[in-house]
Amino acid sequence: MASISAVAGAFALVLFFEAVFAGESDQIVAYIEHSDADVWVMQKGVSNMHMATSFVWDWKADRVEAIEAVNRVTPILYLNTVMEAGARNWFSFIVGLEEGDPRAGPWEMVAGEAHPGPGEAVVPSVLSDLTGLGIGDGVSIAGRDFSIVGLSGDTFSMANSITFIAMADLSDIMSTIGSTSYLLVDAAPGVDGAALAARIRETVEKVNALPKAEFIDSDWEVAMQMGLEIIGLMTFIGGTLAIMLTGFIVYTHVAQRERELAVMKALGVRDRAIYAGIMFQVGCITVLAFLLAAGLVSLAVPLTEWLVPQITLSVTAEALLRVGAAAVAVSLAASVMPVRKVVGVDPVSAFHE
Amino acid sequence: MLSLIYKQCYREIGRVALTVLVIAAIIAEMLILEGFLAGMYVQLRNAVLNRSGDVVVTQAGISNFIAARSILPQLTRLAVEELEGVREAHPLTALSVIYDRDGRKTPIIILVYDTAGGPLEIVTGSPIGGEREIVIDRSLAKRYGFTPGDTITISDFDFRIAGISEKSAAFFTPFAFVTYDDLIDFYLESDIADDIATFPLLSFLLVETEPGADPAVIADRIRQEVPAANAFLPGELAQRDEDLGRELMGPILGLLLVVSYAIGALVIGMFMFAAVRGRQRSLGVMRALGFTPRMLGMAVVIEAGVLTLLALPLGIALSQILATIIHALAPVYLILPTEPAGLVRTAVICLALAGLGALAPVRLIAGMDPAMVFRS
Amino acid sequence: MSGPILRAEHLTKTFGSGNTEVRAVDDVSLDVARGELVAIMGPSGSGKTTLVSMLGALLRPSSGTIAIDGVDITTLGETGLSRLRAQKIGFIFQSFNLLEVLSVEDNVLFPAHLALGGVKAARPRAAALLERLNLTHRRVALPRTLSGGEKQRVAIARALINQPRLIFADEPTGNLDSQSGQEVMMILHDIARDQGCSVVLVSHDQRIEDVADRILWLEDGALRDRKAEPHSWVRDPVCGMRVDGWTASLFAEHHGRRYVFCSRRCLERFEAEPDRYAESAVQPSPSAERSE
Repeated sequence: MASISAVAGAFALVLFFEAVFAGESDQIVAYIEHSDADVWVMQKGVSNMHMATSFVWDWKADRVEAIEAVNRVTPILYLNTVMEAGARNWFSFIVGLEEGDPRAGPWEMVAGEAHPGPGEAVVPSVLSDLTGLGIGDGVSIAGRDFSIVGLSGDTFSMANSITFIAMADLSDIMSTIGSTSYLLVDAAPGVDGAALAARIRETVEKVNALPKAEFIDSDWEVAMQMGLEIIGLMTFIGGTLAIMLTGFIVYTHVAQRERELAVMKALGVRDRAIYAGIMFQVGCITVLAFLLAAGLVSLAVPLTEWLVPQITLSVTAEALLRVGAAAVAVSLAASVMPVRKVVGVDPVSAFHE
Repeated sequence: MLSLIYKQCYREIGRVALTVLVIAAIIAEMLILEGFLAGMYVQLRNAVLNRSGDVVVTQAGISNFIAARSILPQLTRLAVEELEGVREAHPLTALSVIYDRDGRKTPIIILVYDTAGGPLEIVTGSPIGGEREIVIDRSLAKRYGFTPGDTITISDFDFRIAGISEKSAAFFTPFAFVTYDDLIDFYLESDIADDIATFPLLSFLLVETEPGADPAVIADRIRQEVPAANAFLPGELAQRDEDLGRELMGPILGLLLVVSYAIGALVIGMFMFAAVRGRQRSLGVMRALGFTPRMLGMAVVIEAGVLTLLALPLGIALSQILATIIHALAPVYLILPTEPAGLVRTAVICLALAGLGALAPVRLIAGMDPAMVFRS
Repeated sequence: MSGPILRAEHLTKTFGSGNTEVRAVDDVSLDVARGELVAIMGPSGSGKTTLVSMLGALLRPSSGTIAIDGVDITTLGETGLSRLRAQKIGFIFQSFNLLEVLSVEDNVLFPAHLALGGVKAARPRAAALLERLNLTHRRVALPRTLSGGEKQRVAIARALINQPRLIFADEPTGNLDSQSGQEVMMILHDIARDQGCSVVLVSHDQRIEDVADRILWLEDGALRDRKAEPHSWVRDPVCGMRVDGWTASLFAEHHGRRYVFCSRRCLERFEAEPDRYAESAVQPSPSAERSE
């Protein structure tokens, strides 16, 4: 059991790394996901929100709204910057909302107001837990002070917490006049998002329009690309560790059972059959270790989120598949280790003391 | 006793080699994580420090170079240059753009410079010498296979790659350098704006002070005299960016490190447990001969410590090799696994883990029945 | 110091509890004088090893006291027991229990790490012991290259290196051929006679009777009077095999007569058709088939 736990530990390490990374990436698209617009309209040449800058003249919102299949258009202003709260800096998505329009605001409220007025901000509740700041306290964005009026749920991550302020305030900070960043477009019932996006691109000049799913994919891709090498490396190290551990365990088992192997050989069992048994054993260890790792990580995820609320974790099917594939490779590589030992066992030793 | 440990290890050389290898792999993994953080901090600091200037001016209320959008009014440059003690203020503009070729996207920061703040170290090609030229970071060149002379299209605007630079990436984001001569063309001709009013023309000023002037005093003066601006010594701003990186990545990497340490302890524990189980009989004999469980436990702890010490140089070498490979494959990551602080921390923690890992077999020894020696 | 080197009083050891309780040693009292060679004999499972483990300070008794050199060892803690074993007791095992990674000389010297003078002081003693036990030429050999007799002589040298007052030997000839076994017994005899070191020896080997000063007979965990004859041979009524009536553990009563069996299989067959086997059984008297 100790052996399986150690191999499971190596797998768990890889799964955990992937969960941290996927969790952060999930959070990057959380706003797009939850604001649930059918189509996103942005500046031409831009197809992302994360790490991107987009400007769309506000009159273009009217042009989009005039399209028949469009039910509603909600403009937002957006800035990726650093917010100061509780004497610490936080990477933030600052979303500027039109006053009095709740369409693009927070989707889950923990306390207070969902819609910020001038000089007001709605910040993630996790940020409030971490800093001890509450409603009525102040945060600073680009040197400007804002008073917290609401705490939103599911809007925190280390890479991009989402803070909502009034559009006029953000416009001031960004020194923009008459422009917005993105237009959230709700289609009329029965209208396909992709078709509507194409229509907007044709009708309104110098804008890009993407259906929600494509916009999410685009941001996910940027996020994943940024961490792919590191995750790949961690998977490699974790996998190598697992190979060495499994190999060691099997080698030790074989070494301990040298006498049994000698007896088996003396009884006429062939090397190949013994070896098949070992492969089976390695397979069992690997499968059990993988299952244990998956169990461990699924326990560790809520525990970590409870202990370290600023980190979002997500165990994806892809990660499980990837580590599962690594497990198969581990089991094949590890079963090579005791070959020499098996071949080297002398059946005559069965008769020795 | 030590000679017995030595001889036992010598006899079980295969097991010892594997144990040392596994511990070395764990150490390498921890050092890579530590080195990842250390490298990230160095890159964050260098983003500012490699730009030259005695004082760096940002937008009022902005206290970072990376990850914050700073927009200075055009007139700020004149206002700063008029101050006593200021020799020259070199403009610098930072633009965050996502480079996209055939659906492969990479966020980049375009640094627009004039007389200072350009690329520090060009490894291939030459500095910008003509119109519509660009110098890009090696990681960007590597990712898309660019060489000097190639054309890179950013937001529908074609640049000719003049050179490829090193030490010009931070926060997993490569930099690209263009001059102000091309900026307006870029704004006007590219897709990214139909009105340059929405785009920054000036983000920072790199201030050169008069000889003998105290940069700290000049920074104070800028803060007082130019309300639209904030001013920092480069080291100060670099520190703020490093702190930001620490605050952002610290908890994540910290968590990964804690998990790695826990698994490291588990693995070392398992190896020592297996070693002790394999020697249960001889340990029983030693107990019968009068060795106390404490002495035998100490021997196991010493053995774990010695194996960890043996694994340490191997782990360091392994991490250095891995870091070099990573940097060669993906130059955007700078991994510095042999920074003294991280190295000492890892060595101390690994030795502690070895002690911790050896506790499980020590318990096994304590629970051992010395009368087992009579069983054949 | 006068008085016995070893005194055990009302020694009892039980394993398990309730229905599964087994009394391995039952109220044993014994004295061993200085320089005496005492052999403890008895059938398999009679509690010999448990008794010698307790006497050798390796196992704590459930009740009773053991005094070695006047010190009640049942009151000592783990460290005290370890020190006692290191300084006053030597052990010789049936399976030798040499440390495989150490050479002959290092094995002999190993307990000296715990002696007062340390290894350095013990070196001349080790050389003398190796010489006396005819092992000097094998000084640097590893245990796996030794014969059984050589291994046991190394174990004897190791037991003697710290000049103990007491030696416990558990079946020291059990894994040896006849000649090596004889040699080992003579060495133990000489140790007791020449060095004044008491030897407590557990064995099935009949030859020990020739060298022992005293034989103790342990049966069902208790010391009993030893029968005049070493064996009581009877025949299994089912298979006709010769069985020692004193040590056999499978019996059946039929028409007032006691039958002894070699195995459970024979017992079961007898119980199925007792009359058939009882009639054909030849039950010689204990003395009729005396062993050699």
